[in-house]
Amino acid sequence: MIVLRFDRGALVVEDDQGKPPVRRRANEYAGVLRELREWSTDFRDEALKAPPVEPLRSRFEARDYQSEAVVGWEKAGFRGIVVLPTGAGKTIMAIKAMERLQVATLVVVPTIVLMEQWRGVLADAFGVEVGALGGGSSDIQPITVSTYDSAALRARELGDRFALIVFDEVHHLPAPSNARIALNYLAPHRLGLTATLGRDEGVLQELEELVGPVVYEKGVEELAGKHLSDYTVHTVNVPLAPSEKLEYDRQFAVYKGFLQRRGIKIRSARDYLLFVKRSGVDPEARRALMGRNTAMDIALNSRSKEEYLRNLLAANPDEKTLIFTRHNKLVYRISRSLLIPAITHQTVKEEREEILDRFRRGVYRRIITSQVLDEGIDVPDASLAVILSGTGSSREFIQRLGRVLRKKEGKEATLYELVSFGTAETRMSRRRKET
Amino acid sequence: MILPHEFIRVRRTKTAITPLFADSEKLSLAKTLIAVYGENRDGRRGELLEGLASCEELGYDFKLVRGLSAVLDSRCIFGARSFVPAFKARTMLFEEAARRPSMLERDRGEVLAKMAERLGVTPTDLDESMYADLLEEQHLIDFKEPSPDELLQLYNFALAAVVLAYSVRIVVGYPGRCERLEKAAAALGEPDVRVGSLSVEMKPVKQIGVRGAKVEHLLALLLEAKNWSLRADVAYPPRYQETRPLELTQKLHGGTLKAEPVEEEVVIEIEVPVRKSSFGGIIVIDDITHRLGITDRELLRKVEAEKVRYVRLPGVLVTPEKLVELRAGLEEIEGDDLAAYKAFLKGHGCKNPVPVLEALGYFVDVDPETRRPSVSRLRRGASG
Repeated sequence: MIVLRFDRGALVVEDDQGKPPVRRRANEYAGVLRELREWSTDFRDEALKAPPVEPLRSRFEARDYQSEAVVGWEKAGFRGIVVLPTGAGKTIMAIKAMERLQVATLVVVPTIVLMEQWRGVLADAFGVEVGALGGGSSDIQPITVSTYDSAALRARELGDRFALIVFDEVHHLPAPSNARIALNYLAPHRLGLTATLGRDEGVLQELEELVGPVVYEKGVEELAGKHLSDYTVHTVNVPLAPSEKLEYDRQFAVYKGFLQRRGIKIRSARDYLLFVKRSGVDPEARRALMGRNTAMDIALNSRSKEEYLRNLLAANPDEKTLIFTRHNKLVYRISRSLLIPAITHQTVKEEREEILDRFRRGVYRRIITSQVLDEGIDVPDASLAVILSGTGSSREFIQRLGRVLRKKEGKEATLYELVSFGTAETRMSRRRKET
Repeated sequence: MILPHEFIRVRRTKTAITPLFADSEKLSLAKTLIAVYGENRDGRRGELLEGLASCEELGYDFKLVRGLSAVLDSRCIFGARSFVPAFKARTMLFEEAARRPSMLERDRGEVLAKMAERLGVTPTDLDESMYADLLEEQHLIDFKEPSPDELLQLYNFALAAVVLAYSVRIVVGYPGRCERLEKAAAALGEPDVRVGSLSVEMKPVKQIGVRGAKVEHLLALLLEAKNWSLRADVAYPPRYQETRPLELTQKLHGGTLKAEPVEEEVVIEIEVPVRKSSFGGIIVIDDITHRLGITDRELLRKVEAEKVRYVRLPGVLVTPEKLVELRAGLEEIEGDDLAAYKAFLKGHGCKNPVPVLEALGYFVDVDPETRRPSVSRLRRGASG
């Protein structure tokens, strides 16, 4: 007789033949169970100690694509990743998945704000007490929402308590500290949710091992019109002011000159990281790095963009508008000059909530923010988004676009992406579109 | 102070690790940096930062420039200067601006003028107040200017302290016995005390900064002794498992290192005895300074301004009344379960219990196998 046990983040397989017990990763539990059943082996499962749950039934109606996603996930053995755009109702899809399985569930989220949002929605949906793990809370219930950090820290202790794990914003999972959750919890059923996975083969393969394959995917284009708002994206090339252009060229030349002199080619993120590392010990490399940073600073935060934004807002005075930047510096500059409420990581929670509430109620029609609203905070509906600057990543772009796509009768969302013409930012924007 | 770890400069060979102390060749850099701070008295922190950034282009290792700046920063007091509370200023301006369909240049002026009149301040004052609470907008109110030599010594001390924070073991030599040193060592681990020396194996910590503050205290006390010596096994950078010895002696380094005066348990006596502080009865200094983006000294000034009496323990300030309650309550907790101690302290409004427990003379240890945290009482060194 084989006996399965859970021991501090590991699955222990023992038998009564006197062989030493074998320790395996907890995430192999589902595979081990399957093999034992396939071989009709006698075994006793003492590993998973997930408590029973009260019947999970919600009043939410799933949209057709949400139901299709649940079916796709079920067909894949209740393991896999669902990719849906922001605003498409990934939470509802997860609720339907939980209804389908009726098991103890851990929902893992990247931020405390999201943890509170999920708790609210789940408590409302199922009418049960929902536990919280993270942000000073440690209340473990059959349905619990945790931050990635706390779930990882408590993995060795809680790894046998849940039969299903829902990974919200699952693209965060491959980070080494987060991957411990997937590795050290037994949970045979896993659901990953994200708006965008990227195209990195290594990451996709790792996610497939940790959670499962992509079982359902719908892009913005497929849902726009019926389930999400119709939208238009305008990329506007804004030339730098002559003085800005002069300084940009001067600073960028310092960087390019250094690379040329040293015969360094930057072809990938790794090459760039090596260059940054070198700047820690090589003063000339440091000057080159500073030159590049200054040049990018000019391109990303140009005065011309601010002027274009001013005109854009004047032409769309009644649109509820979200303005995104890469740097806080630009957020505060514009907040001051155009008197627009700002949200950055420096904004205290109370003020952030008040700004969002006033935006929701229409007291404010505009908010300017850096990257803090990209994900993890429930942002009220808006119809116009302006990206003044960003990192150039597709994920960030899609997340920002998603902020204006919530469906509303008669609404057509518009996104403006302002790019400093003739600078490295133009290349960043082009590269993003190619991926 | 200890340097932020990102500014550590060391030479690591197969046989030793040596902090790259600032020598007299760096005096001109020290003078320049002191001058930048001096010139920015009363100015915005943002402007000071720009000045410091330009010093990084002088050809010195930027980690040295930033490390020296960090030492100077710790001798500064920054403060918000606003004529109207910043949040109130913002809210009024945003609300008024939102009533206007467009925001042209002239609209901004009108909004500012209208709201300024309502608040009884000038438009410029209101404009300045709008984001006065941002770190970059704070003003340099006071700067305790060191001499260039002193700055280098303080820097070297801060560098030594942060490198020593990565030690797994420290052995110090000094004449006879010193109770204060033994107490400081007990905060780091279980010390083996002998006449003329003590050694301590470091207990594991989650945050190196927590240990750093204790190492700093130990080193500062050691510098007061005669014929002192120190040998540490240092695991830095932490990714390397192997340690390297670091040796410091009074003979070689006595003139190189200087600590800021050690502040013992200070009772801040203020004339109004019973009054509630906006900081609450328990202040975890690191938490508040981090949250408000201010230095320890700035916080102490703020606390003083509250006119509430606090007892200063390592890293924590507690009102005397609260201290009595905490000590009595903690004594009554049975067992070593951290959760019970946490719950008790949370009941007293303490959101970060571990530093408070440590300040009150309790150990928080995590079993490496079970990861279960447990609490025990220090045999010696219970502070306060």
